[in-house]
Amino acid sequence: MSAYRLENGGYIDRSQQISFQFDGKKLSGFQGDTLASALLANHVDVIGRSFKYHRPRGILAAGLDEANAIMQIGSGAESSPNLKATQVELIEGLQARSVNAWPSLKFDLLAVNAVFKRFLPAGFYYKTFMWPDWHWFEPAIRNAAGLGKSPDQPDPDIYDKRSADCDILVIGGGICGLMAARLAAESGANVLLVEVDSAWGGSALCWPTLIDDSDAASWCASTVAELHQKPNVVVLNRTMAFGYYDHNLVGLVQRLVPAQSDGLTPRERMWKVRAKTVVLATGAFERPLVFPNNDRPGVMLASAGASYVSRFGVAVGRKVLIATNNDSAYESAFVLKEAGVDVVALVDARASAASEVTQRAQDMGLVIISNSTVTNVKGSSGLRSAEVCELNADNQPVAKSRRSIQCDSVLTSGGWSPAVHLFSQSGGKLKFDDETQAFVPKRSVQNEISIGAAAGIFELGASLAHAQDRIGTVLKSLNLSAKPTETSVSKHAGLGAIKSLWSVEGEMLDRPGAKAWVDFQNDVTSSDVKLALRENFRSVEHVKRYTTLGMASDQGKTSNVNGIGVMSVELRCDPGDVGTTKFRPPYNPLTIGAFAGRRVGENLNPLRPLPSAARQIELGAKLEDYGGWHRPAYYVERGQSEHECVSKEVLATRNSLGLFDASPLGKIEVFGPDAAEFLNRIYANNMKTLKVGRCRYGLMLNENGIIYDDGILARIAEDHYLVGTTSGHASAIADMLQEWLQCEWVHLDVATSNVTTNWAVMNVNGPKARALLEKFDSSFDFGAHAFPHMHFREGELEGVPCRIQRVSFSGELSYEVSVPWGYGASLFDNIMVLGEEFAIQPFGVESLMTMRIEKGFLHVGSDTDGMTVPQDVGFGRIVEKKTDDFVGRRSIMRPDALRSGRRQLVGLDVTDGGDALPIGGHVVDQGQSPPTASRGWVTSSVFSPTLSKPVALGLVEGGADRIGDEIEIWDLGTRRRARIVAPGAYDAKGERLHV
Amino acid sequence: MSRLTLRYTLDGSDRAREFSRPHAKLLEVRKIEIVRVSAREIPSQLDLQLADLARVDGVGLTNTVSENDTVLATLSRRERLILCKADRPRSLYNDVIEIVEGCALVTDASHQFVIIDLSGRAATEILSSLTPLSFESSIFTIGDCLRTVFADTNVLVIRSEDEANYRLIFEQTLAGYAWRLLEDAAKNV
Repeated sequence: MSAYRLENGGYIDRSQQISFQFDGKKLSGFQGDTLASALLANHVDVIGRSFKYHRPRGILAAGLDEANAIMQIGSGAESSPNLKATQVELIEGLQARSVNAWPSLKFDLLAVNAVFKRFLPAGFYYKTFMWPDWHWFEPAIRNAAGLGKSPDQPDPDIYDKRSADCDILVIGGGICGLMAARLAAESGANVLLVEVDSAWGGSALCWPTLIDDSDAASWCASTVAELHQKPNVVVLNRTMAFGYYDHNLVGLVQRLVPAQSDGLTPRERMWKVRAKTVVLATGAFERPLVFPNNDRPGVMLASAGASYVSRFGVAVGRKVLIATNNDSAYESAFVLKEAGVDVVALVDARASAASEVTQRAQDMGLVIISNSTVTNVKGSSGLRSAEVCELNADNQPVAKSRRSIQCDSVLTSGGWSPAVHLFSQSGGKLKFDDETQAFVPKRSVQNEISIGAAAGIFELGASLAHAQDRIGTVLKSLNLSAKPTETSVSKHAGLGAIKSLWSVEGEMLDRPGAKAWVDFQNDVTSSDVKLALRENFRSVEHVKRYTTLGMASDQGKTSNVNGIGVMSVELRCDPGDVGTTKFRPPYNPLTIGAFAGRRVGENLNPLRPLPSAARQIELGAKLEDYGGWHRPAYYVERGQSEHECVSKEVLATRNSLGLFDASPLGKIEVFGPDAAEFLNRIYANNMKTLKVGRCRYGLMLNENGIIYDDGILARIAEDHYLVGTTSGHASAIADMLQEWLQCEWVHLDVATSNVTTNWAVMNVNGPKARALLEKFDSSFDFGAHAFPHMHFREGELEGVPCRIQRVSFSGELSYEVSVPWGYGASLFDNIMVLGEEFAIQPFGVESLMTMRIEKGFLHVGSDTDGMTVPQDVGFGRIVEKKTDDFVGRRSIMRPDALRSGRRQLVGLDVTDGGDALPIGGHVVDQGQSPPTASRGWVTSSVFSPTLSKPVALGLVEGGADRIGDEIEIWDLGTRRRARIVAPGAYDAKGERLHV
Repeated sequence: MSRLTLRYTLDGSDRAREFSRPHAKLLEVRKIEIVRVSAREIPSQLDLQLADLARVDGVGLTNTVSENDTVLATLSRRERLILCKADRPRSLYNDVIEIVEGCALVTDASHQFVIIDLSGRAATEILSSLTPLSFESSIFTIGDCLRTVFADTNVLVIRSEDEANYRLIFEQTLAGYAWRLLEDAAKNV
């Protein structure tokens, strides 16, 4: 191919030269160029290597149907893979790199694949690399695959999102789309008009068109300017509709900054638009002809050849041959000829085109070769000639008629496929239209209409009439109206009488090795499609997956219908009977950043702060994410290990006084005359008998009887309770309570309110806890008899409302003091000040865990799993005695829940003198080595600072009946010894709680 | 007895947050009393009394805001949220308790929520960049309030005073996160 810049023409600004780089080589183009047009103008023929065979590839198309020119744009953190050169607007300093070639585009080592292509047919990877192990080959195969690389640094760009509603969303800024938007706007409807290109006009910019006696570009510019002025219209170019979802939700992505980020302007904006009606004016894609070596650089789509001339002033070759099976390629030939390009021949598979088209071609001196097609091209990186053969009555090339025609570019047109991707995503059904040899919209499922070429109408005048009619119907349904305008348009060739010609095979010409490409991006040939059929993958969906035809980012824009055509020939059926695959979003690749929006870094997920967050940092807390809360793991002391820090915190608490910000603990108020009945159904243990002012530990189960959560329930009044939950489950349990009330027990007069973050909770823990609290000015009597263990009191503390529960997870004297959240930080500070005389020590979650393991207290999620029922954790008698029904009761009465030998929670006493047992270590029978049966595992384990020895809990088969048994723990090749004991290594009688 | 007093702070500060750009302004509003009323079903008589208490016109359409900034929001068939300035002679909570007379659960939620006022010509754009709604002024009129999703949080949005002025009510432990996102959006919308 010898592409070159024409002396004049195109919508580029020749006064503004732009420098850019391709594979490190400095090149230049003009303002208004795409990367593709600039590369062509710079005589760059080979722009990349194919996906599988690493064959040299050139530019195929001029729009987002480009399958070959996949580029890596930019460098470093701003580098973007998988961009089509036809969609990249040229900007100063742009850096583009080819992909899928190593060490260079010209000399690509993996081009050796093409030599072995006979051994690499479709699905070869399903049959090979099985011995000795796929994983041996996987790294090399994965390294060789892919089209570009994602940057491994954080994206510095900003991405925005926007939600919008409108009456009418028009997708496509071609002539029909603009006409539809104008009519809708005039009716007063709220209109959103989007166009993927930077320029308006669609195919009218490719083939010179007169609309109302002005050229298409001027008509588009004035129409867009008119729409911009209307307050009820939003007009967005550079905006792609990538997905059509339920309830007429359409995803758009708008490109805002083509250059490098300035740190303020978002690079892209994702729109989520809910439209009453969607107008699909998405146009159509030209199909390439399928013949041997049709993937060589220099073979392009006919419309692309015209587009490069008309839009960018670039001729794609000096001697161009055009091959077609329909009239539209004649229009492209006229464009090239009028621009002064030598069109050496127009090869038509049909006997003739429409008479007026033929006449015009003859008038222009074009040589038409009828009843023939291209059967091969020569020149691997620069086209030298094309082979042309006559077609017989069966559409088979006649070998003896073959002849060679010198040319440096071949433009082909195998017909047109309406861009039905969004229509298909909306759930719409397609049908195959014999007249146009294309799949067209048949039945809509959502509130949308297709107009113009997207509806399979390829003649502009007829398209506009159809569009006006359809828009009129839509406006009527919205109780709106607009007067259709008389619009005159210049006559175009249109599609004419298309001839079905799905592929020309090498076998037909005694060249069995020659491959004819159907899908350029995924390197799928017609022989691959046939192989899939021979292997009995006969459904189009199966052929797609076996061959990868039409998959991935291309979504079969140029290949799907040709693939279906090849299948229909092989299966001897109509393409409509083959059917189409389901088109999936995104319609075209888009950045992950657009989906992420502002939800990156610290904004990825909300992390809730404690009321005392500021003070925690001052105290040196090592803050970590615990169930969505930013909580201290422990308090760092310089030069001390985590274990040393935790030991210090535990010993200070056990010996004197510790402070823990327990504010994330779930708090749900339950109120009403039926509150007792309701909670008795929610908890596995009996809650009806709980007296006012008392607290009780309880287990909640799910409907399968599995332990879901635990916590303390306090009875505030006869009809008023406070449900305590674990920190991570507060919202879920609040929702669960409402679900039971609203869906199952609707007759119960109960109200609930999640007050978790209304109350800050400071846990004052240790033998000096009472002495400390008595220092506050409060309405509470903290005396042992006045305020015993597992009791609840309400009052005031330092003049603010206060709730206190005397409960303990450590086994020490302990109070959970709640004040309104805004006072939480101040309460924490005051406790620290007043606690100085007791050498108060703040402690973190790790110390809390250590103390509860020492005490043998259950931690749901650590000491339970998706199979643990109450009987497994020592609640067997409690649930057995409860006669009332409760959530999960039926399930825990099933034989499996009642069988002996279930895994039960036990304590593990380490007998080998070693350190803490490994959590997750498997319990095995003495003397057994893996592979052997696992009898359970270690669920919680620490080295106890209090007892100066390791303590652990575990789920062990039949554990409750095996107290005293010696067992072994096996973990990743190490073996430990332990004895099964009752949980609770520290203060088993609970004497320290009742002081 | 201690000589210490408990001081009100939020996110470690006793000062409300502010952020301003020519096209958008964010302001954290404090000293607002918030009371939540929950029941199996709010009786219509109670709605009337609450509306009267909140001095809101148009009873029945309780998702609305009154001229004096008092809001009575219907969160669901079972829940109402009342917001007013904390400058009443008697606390709102006590007044509501008196009205309810034990037929509903009344919780003082003043510490549970944070109010952020968003105003300026870009306010609507900012809001629709962070929520799934477009806030069309023809649908969401002055005085309306609605509950929706804001990133991974819930928000109650009230359109107040004029079209480009919104009162956003967040659960307070998520307000810092919401503030960051709002500020971020306000910088470059």
